[in-house]
Amino acid sequence: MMIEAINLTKRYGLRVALQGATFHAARGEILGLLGPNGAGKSTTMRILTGYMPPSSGTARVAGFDVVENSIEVRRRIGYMPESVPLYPEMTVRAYLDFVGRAKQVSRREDAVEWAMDAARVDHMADTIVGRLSKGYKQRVGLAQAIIADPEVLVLDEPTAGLDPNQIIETRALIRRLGRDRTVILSTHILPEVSMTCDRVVIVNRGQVVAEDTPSGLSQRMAGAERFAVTVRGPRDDVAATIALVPGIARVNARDEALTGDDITTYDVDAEPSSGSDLVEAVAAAVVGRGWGLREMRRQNLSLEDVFLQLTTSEPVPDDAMAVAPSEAG
Amino acid sequence: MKRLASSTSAYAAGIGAIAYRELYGYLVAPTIYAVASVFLLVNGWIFYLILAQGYAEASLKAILPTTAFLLLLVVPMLTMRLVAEERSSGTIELLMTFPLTDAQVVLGKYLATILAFALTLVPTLSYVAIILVHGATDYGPLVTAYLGLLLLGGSFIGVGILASALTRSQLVAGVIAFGMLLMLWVLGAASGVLGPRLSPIISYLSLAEHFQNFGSGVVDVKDIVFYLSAIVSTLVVTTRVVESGRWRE
Repeated sequence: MMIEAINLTKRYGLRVALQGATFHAARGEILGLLGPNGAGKSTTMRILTGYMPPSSGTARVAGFDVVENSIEVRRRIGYMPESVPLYPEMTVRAYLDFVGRAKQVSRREDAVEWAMDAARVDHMADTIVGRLSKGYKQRVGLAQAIIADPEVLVLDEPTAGLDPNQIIETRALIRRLGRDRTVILSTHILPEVSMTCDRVVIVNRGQVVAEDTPSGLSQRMAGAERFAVTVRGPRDDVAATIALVPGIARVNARDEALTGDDITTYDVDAEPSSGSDLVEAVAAAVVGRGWGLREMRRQNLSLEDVFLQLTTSEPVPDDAMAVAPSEAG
Repeated sequence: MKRLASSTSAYAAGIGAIAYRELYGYLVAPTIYAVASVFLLVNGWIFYLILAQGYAEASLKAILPTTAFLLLLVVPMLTMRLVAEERSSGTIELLMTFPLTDAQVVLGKYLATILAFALTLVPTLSYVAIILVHGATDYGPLVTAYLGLLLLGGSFIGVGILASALTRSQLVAGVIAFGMLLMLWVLGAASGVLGPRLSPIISYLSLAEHFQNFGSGVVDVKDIVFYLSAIVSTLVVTTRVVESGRWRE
């Protein structure tokens, strides 16, 4: 095992950021840490890279304990923190030269050129870091992570804030680097893991809630479905009635002032593998109360919805869609 | 033996990497040029006044108290960013995941600052040139004056880097450093009123007391030991503060 995290817990004062997280990554594997912001992804990475010790639990990288053998761990890791902190007054080449010195890379000049080439910042070599766009800073962050040709790459939100072209490029680069390295990356975007990662660990509120391959995750959620129901009737009553139907996970009333006349559309999420007669049961419940059933439509679950299903344990309030994971910070 | 040598040079290379970056940071930013200009202007003006008043002795003795006092202001401006800026910009997160110990980071930053400080002293060698032209025959006091300035500045920088490790705010770091240095500077002034027991101890701790001999060409091991131990202890405490930051973060 290249990375082993056992029962990692991190407390900041009274706040628990990470609670008994256990996972692993094999050599040559690209592991995705998926979860909403504040789930504990960055905390996990900061522990794995030796930046800070866990409150309890242990983690090993390439067999070395991150606390006991911190320096050995750090020798084997390339890390890109979420905010990509660089020294703005240095040129790209000077900055990478510094990182090469700090990591004691042999044949440093070649390593700097290689890293700039791989991360596609070679044409910006003599530009001052502070003048680079967000996308280029991200690339420089990646270049410094790979400069010492590390066995393990730890990338915190590597595509955050990039435009679509840059995202595609970055994912391709990560896949290429991941061929002979262990990569652990974090993201709150589900499609990202299915495109880049071999395996996914889903974290929420400091806990590992699921661990699977991207395709395995989709299969697990295959039984889940969503449909939209339009009903004429008192909003709150209708929502409550639908929610009481067995097999319904959650009901969200859409904000549709336009339709008026007490007509509202509700998004209804079924629990996974709840069977196909659910639509009928909902229809019967609505009609049974004497409300007007105007329309029922089945909808495809997006990966974001799958994610929401896995990470939220209690009924979601009306405005839940406003904080869908893709938008949360 | 060979292994020890290679690990020692690896340790030094780590310090050198940090020193390289810090020095780069000093030389491309305007701060050091502004600070050095003001320092040299004021110090030069006072040196001129001393000469114009017809000061006869061909030595730096008359200007040194002024220079030392100016350093109380200059050094905090050089040191305030050292750790505080890394904290506020977040670069410390990456720095502390490089395969370097916290002591190497602190030593590298210290080394770069003392070099930058020495650079700001270089133009004052023109005073030495003037003194030599006017017939100084005793080089001893000139050499010891600079030794004294380096030791004094070195211990100021130690206090400054410690202050910078205590906070995220550069401004606060500068104020703390200046306050601490000023307090250590004026300790000697209070020694007369504290009675025969306490006075020698308090005046021993005064940064100013130990500086006086250097201007007259007298090098007392006691003074050198004082400054070196001030430097070592501030660096040790700074390293501890930086380390404890990993737990607080």
